[in-house]
Amino acid sequence: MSEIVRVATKAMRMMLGEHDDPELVPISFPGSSGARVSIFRHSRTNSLYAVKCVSGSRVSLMDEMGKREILVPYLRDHLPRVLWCQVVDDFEVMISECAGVHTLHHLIVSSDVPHSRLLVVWQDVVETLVRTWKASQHQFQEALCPRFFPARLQRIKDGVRSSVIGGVQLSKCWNMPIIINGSEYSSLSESLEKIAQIGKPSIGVVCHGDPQPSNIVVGEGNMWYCVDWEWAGSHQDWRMMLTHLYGWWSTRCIALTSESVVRVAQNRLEVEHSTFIPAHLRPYQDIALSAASMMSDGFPDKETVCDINRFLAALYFGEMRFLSLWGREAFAASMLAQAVATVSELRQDESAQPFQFPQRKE
Amino acid sequence: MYRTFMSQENFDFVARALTCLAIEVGVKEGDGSFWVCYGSFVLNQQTPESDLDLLCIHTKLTAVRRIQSSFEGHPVTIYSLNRNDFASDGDQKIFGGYFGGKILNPHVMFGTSQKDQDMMVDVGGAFIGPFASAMAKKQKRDVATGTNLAADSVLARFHLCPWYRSYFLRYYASPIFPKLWERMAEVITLSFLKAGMVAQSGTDFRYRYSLPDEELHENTLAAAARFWALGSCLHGCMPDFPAFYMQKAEQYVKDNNLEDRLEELMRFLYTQSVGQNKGGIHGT
Repeated sequence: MSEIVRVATKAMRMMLGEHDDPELVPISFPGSSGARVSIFRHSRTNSLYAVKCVSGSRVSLMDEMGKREILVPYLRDHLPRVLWCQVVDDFEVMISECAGVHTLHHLIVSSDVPHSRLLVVWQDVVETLVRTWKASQHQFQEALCPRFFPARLQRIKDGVRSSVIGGVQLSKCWNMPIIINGSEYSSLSESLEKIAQIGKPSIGVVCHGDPQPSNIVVGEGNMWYCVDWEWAGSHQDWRMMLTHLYGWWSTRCIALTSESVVRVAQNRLEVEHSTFIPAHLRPYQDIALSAASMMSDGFPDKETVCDINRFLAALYFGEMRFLSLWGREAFAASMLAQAVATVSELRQDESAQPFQFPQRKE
Repeated sequence: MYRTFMSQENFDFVARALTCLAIEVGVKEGDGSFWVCYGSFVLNQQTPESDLDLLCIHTKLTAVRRIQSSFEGHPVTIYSLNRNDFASDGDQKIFGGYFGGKILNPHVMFGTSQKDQDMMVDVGGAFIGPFASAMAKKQKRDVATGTNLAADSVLARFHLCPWYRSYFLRYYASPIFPKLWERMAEVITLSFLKAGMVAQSGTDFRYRYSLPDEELHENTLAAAARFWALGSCLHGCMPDFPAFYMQKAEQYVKDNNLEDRLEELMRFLYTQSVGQNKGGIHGT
């Protein structure tokens, strides 16, 4: 029995009483914060409970519960109730209601639930979030943004610097031109400088800090619930939040056509990769993209498109740090290539193509 | 009070934060509100993950609130409360010293008038004074130095909330503790004088009164009940808040192998409470 499961089981028994014997259902993959969630079924009532265990997390679970309160006025029907929160054997543990065993992520990638049903759920998630953004909009103050971008970008830079892909240490290629599938793009340093030029939105909004399918639990009758509230807040940049909705499909759902190659040759960083988003998943990404139109009452202006692309590039660079958590190290070269390509192609002219990701030629 | 301990960089950071965070509480300059910063930023002990801890005292007729926000990537916790509510946590201990206790810790005030500063000093002293007096009585000590008063007040806080020890341990373990302790002795003495808890005779002080045992017991229980009730309310109405707080405090000591330092701290405080120290921590 893993340490997490032992602690989660102990917490369940503390809450329910020693005579109950909760049955462990599944345990989720760790999030980027390292938190683990185990799901238990009560032996007599069949009720489900989600047990979150964290150790040394940047946000204490007691504070995460405070962040949940920020979302309540807008997402009341989509927030599980917290039932119990204590420290157990070095871990902070929170037990909350669990209305479903699987996240939308899990159901989409590995279940037999029809996509027609899951698309309806995803559409409702996106529309509900946009309604929240519109209802809560106020003057944006970057300094109050829970996902304060300058600090986040610094962490991303540090992560890229320490990355090694295919035996190539990226810190040693920092200023080299990058050749992706034969075309030349900006260096890492130039790419990150371009990302740093991101503009400020006119409005700040209330939002979950990481809205994406791994943080949506699906219940019965297409009901869905937001979990992981640690970065929720009142002063989010909706364009960054949109990139979480959209970029997840590019970071977690792409498939490899062939093995990627990363090498340094003639003082250039060369990347060869071939990836695509499976066709049946593209409608999910289209729905995510529709949030931009909903927020802009039509297609967003070019400046907004460029900034969303900068956020996307930052997300791709940033996710490189977490690929090993998800067993997706093989996609590191593609993430790097996509980040560089996305930011290199920023143009505020008529030919600007927003939010592109390689599609397999049919 | 503790401004000299806070780096200019931190002071400017907090001042900058307050101009943005005022909107979160709904206060503005000149409306009678003021801010108190306490916690790790005051002694420059913060890490990139540290919370910025703030207290906003205002004149609005709103209930006590705990607001979670962020500033430049740092999580921010703001307690917002009405001036009269804050004052009532002194003599009346209406919140069991939830706020009266915070200002007994090193803190820096922003936007305060002299009247505000006087109130702050008074509330801290009025809250802990009767309990500190009980500590002196337990030691059978009639006359006190400033250092004795500081030790009495810290021991009294430990008596009310033993888990506060792990919090105070952060100060004790700091390399600046000798200077900090001297300052605490000055501030506590001033607070006790302002709140009328002690009478001064030269460099010596005497508690003006001590509660009978039964009344002390009742006041202690009332303060503890009010403290934990408010804490639970302000943390999402979680009945588990007291257990969580206590366990976290114990965990901090365990995780950092501070058991020996904690014992050392307790010995230090008892020595400072009993001895005829004129100040400083020499000879302990």
